Amino acid sequence: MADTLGAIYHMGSMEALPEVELEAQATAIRKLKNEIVGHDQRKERLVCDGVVDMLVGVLSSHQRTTGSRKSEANGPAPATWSWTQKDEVRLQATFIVCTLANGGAAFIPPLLAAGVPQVLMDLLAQTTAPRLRTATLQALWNIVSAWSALQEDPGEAVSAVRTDILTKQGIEVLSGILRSTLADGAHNQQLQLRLIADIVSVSATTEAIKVLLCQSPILDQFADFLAAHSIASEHVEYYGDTLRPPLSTPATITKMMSAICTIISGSTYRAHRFFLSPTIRDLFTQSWLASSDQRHLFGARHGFASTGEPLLPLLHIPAYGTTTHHYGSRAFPAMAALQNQERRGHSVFESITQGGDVDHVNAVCRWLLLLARSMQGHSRLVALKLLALVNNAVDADSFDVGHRSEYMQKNRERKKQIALLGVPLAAKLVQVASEGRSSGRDRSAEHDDMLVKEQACDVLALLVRDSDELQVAAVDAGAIKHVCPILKKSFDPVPLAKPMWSARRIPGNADPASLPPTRRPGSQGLPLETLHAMRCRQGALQALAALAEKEDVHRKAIVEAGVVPCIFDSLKPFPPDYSTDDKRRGQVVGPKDGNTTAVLLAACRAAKTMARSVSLLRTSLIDAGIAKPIFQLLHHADPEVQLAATDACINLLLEFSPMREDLIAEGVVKTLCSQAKRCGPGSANGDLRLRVSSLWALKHLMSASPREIKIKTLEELGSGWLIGVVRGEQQHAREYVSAPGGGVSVGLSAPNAAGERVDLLNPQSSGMDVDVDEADPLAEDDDEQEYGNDDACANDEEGDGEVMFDISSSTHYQASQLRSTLNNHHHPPTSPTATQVPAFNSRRYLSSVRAIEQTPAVRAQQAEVAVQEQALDFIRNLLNGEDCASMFDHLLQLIAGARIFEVLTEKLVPVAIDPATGSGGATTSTRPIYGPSALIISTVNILTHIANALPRHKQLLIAQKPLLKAWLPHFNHPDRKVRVACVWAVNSLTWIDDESDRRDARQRAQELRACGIEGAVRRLLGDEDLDVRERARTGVRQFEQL
Amino acid sequence: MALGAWYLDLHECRHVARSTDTHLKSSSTVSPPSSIMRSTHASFTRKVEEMKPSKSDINWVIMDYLVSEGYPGAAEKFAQETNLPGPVDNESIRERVRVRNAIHGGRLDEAIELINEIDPEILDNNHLLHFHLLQLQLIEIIRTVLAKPGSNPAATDFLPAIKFATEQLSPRAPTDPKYQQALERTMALMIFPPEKMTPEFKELLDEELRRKVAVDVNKAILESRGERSEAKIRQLIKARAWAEQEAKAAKVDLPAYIPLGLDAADELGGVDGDAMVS
Repeated sequence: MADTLGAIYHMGSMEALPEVELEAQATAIRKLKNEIVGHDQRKERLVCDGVVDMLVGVLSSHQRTTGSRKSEANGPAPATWSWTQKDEVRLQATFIVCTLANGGAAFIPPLLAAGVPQVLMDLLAQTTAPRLRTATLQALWNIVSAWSALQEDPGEAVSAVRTDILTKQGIEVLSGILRSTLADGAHNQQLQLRLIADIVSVSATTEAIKVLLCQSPILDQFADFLAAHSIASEHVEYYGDTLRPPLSTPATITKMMSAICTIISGSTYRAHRFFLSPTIRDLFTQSWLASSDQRHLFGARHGFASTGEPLLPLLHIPAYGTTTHHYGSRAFPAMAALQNQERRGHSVFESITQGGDVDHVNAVCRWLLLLARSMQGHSRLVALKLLALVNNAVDADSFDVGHRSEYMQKNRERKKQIALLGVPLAAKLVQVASEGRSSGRDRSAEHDDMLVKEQACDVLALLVRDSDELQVAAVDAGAIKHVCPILKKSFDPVPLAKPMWSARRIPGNADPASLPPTRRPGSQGLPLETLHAMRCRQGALQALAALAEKEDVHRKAIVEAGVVPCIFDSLKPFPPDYSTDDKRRGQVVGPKDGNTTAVLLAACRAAKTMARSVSLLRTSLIDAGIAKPIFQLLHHADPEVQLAATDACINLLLEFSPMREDLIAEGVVKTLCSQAKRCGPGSANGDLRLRVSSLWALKHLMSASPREIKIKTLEELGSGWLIGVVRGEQQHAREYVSAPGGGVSVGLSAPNAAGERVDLLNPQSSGMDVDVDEADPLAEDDDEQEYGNDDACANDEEGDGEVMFDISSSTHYQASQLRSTLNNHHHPPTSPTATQVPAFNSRRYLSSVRAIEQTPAVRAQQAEVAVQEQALDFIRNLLNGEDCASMFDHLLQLIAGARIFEVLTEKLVPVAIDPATGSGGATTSTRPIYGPSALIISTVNILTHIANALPRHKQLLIAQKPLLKAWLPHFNHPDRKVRVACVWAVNSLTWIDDESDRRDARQRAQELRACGIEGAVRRLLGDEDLDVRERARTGVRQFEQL
Repeated sequence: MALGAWYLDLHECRHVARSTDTHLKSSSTVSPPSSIMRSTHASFTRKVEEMKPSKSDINWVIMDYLVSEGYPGAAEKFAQETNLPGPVDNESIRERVRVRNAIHGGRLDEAIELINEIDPEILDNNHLLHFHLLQLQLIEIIRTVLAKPGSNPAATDFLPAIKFATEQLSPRAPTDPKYQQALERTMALMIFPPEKMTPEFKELLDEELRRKVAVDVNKAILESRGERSEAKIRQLIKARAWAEQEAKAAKVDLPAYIPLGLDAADELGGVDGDAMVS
């Protein structure tokens, strides 16, 4: 073999060679190929002999020779393609790359070291010969797929190794191939499409690559194929003319769906980008001949009846209530206090959600349901995954729009359909995976079964995440019953493939380090069987985490299934001295030896949601000893694992958790404090999630803790640091607000105290008119730019100036009313219920979704708010409880009283004055913008605690005039929780501690009256919320008693 | 020679025509079981008579068979006779024919190289298939030694076989018992003289084994191209058998024996095969 190699080398570079010698070279390489196909040991030897360098030489000499006739990959293939000897040589060399990469993870390091992927990509860009193109794609796919197995290997720090296939140029080449209609037979074309989809779905692992893919036409192209498939299979009747359906087989469609899933996962914007892609919009707007909008035919009641017959079972979903009680049941308004459904961190979405096109979203979800129902096995699973991603993205985007009942009803319909038609399908697939039923005996069926086993649970988890309704539907379909056996089974010992035998001793390279990297095979990674078990385990844990998210009944059922010990075992990483190279010494890594990072993350999540049950915390979870492994994971090297473990800790540190003492004994305080402080305060763009979680856990630790623990923790954190965190980056925010040109105005993004949700980008326009103008840093080098700026939109904004919020008018405190005011302004004659958003503009809508998700300033702001909230709540819990007074005294000792109140005032005063207001018509008064309500609630709660301490503390508080002044506007806050908190604080302040306090209390009441707070409380007697009214009544009574 | 091959092919296709026809009739009749429940044998046969599958459907099934089983010549002629569009990718059928012929002829090294030329992925990923081909090659090496005139081959005559087994087959052997057993049995061929062999060893020398492997190879090649790995008719026949079994389990009133039309005995049962050939 080595001599063949030598011979090929001696022939030198291809350009100098006459045809005859080229032929000899081709023959030699072909012989080499036949030697190694199916013989992994020989491949290894060949790599040590330096075959990789030879291959790079042969493949890249191509580029030099064919530079002259370089044809774009995008153009159609020349009609008469003559197959040359050079092509033959390249083909055979590419085949060898394919074969080497098939050898597994060990061959990836040398191939990457030699830059083979790059060489192949260049080759792909230059060749149009279908056979060579297919082979090149195949080689790339083999490399990528072995590389992805390597990514899961815990022993190596290989995550840094990148394939560099999906670079900007690389994506262009792939997209070019997708575009070209190949002159070649259908077989090659389908194979190429499949390979491209496969490469994309496996190698797009990082956010950066996904963003690149999203910007390239590739996402739309995949969507086109999907839409074309639906038209061909008569799911929708299509009368438009923009779609030119290229034919594709079902297998190809599955791969494309899975590529789409990869691209859009992890980003609400990208998911929107997919389902708002032009062809998919077209699919549902061009599916009837009449010019009117017939999309209701896709609805639950009509069962997707675009073609005349209902394709989905008909569902009659009764209309829900009509008004604003989305905080809980109308029958029990008091329950609202307990059922807070507001989702954290999404408040900025509100202003634009109303621009969303709910009919389209619903049609897309139903269409995906239909696709899932029309498919089998793994294809069905992928369709469900796509459905889950789209549905979750819509959810993330459409919280808190309860005031539009029609919108609510349509959302409900979608949810219900997914619960009745989608979730059971996923649960059924989990059952199939759990029972190990096989769908066939041939190799493709076996492969299909394996994929279903690995992914079914994961998809189920994705589908039901964040929705109790869907979680119940899943459990009703037997999800827990089928998931638990999968988890248990993943710990069964698997028969591992035994190593191959060799007549010769494997040549012990004296010193592998002496070889150049292109000749040094790496480690083989985890055995495939172990990897499979790990993937199944990870999926099962994800599913359990999702099912246990909300319902205590589900958690109990999971415990009864006896899988808590499995969760415990899944929290154990591979031992640190583990190395896959040990395999040579006969030690093989089985599924019981440890867990991959993905499993650890999933196990932490499962532990977190299971720990939400108080009774389980006190019984099965403590019995399983879950605290110890989680504490150990806090010190794991991977930051993601650290974060997940911290999240899991949060619930274990609650006051009623029996594990609290153990964790404190282990030194959890020190660990969490150092984690919270790790990312420097200066790094605004740094990842603050760990800080949020650590502070959150510490906050729980503070509640009802012994005084020593509280003092020790505060000491560990440092009072100065804490105050610094609470004050946060506010100065930065101010700067953004005053940014010229009405660009990004971060301070405006949250609901302000006056109740108006201020538009993120263009404060003075309605939600629909969001556009990214040139001041937006993101507008450069992105895909939206080609659309240009919408001039009409800009004009719209100009005219909007007069529709300003007037702070003196109390009628505008509800966001919904404000919205209808705006709409009425645009369309005066329409009645409020019929008020429709103007014609939906998907481009503008998309750019606003993206701006919210991707503008760094907004994200930094969101993270900052989350940190501040936890820090404030930390103080709040510190002051809570029996020793409130002494703790406050302690705090006063550490930090000067004036300083504390100064910081609290800072949280209550407007973060900015909207400068744009002045430009509007009549109103010249400036509009204050307040901080997010979460911060205000926390601040006011701290005031309550201070007011609950000793009388002298009450007096101290009442003496803070600027604070009281800053506090006043929040009595009218649109969020009822802020109003309740405010009244509670007043009630505490006016409380008479003992007889000696009576005089002081009267004086306090006078102060409150003087600054207008009493009046504010009285006004709340007529509040729409029962809780607020009741508290206000108490407050007024207390005022009157004084 | 070419004419002979065509004849052989045509014979195949007649064979198929008969079976498809009967099959289509029966399966479509079985499909609405509720009505059959009440029917008698007579009505069953009447229903069979009533079902007239379209000629073009049958022709399509025949064409599909010819293409996927690898009869390019017959496929072309059949296309001319029936005005069907000819096979799209004649070259790929011929490729498969060459592989099949090589296996049938015992030229395994040639077959392996041809497969690797079509797509090296096939054998690289399907270790079992690769092993079967190599096993067959080992058998051929042993066969030549056994076939030599003279009563007892000398031990040294087997050296090439042993060398081949060591290099090609044995590395894979310890990874799975099935490889090990197959290798051991094949090696045993060198120990026993052919006339004393038990049937399980004899079947290794039987040329039927080549045919079996050739079918597997054909399937694998089709699969690698993302095509159906089996002719549609095979699936139809399986579906028919399944339906009959299900119907009988559900106690549907059926004739005890529904001829398939494949065996000579069936033809005696009254189905006139030749009449159905176009």
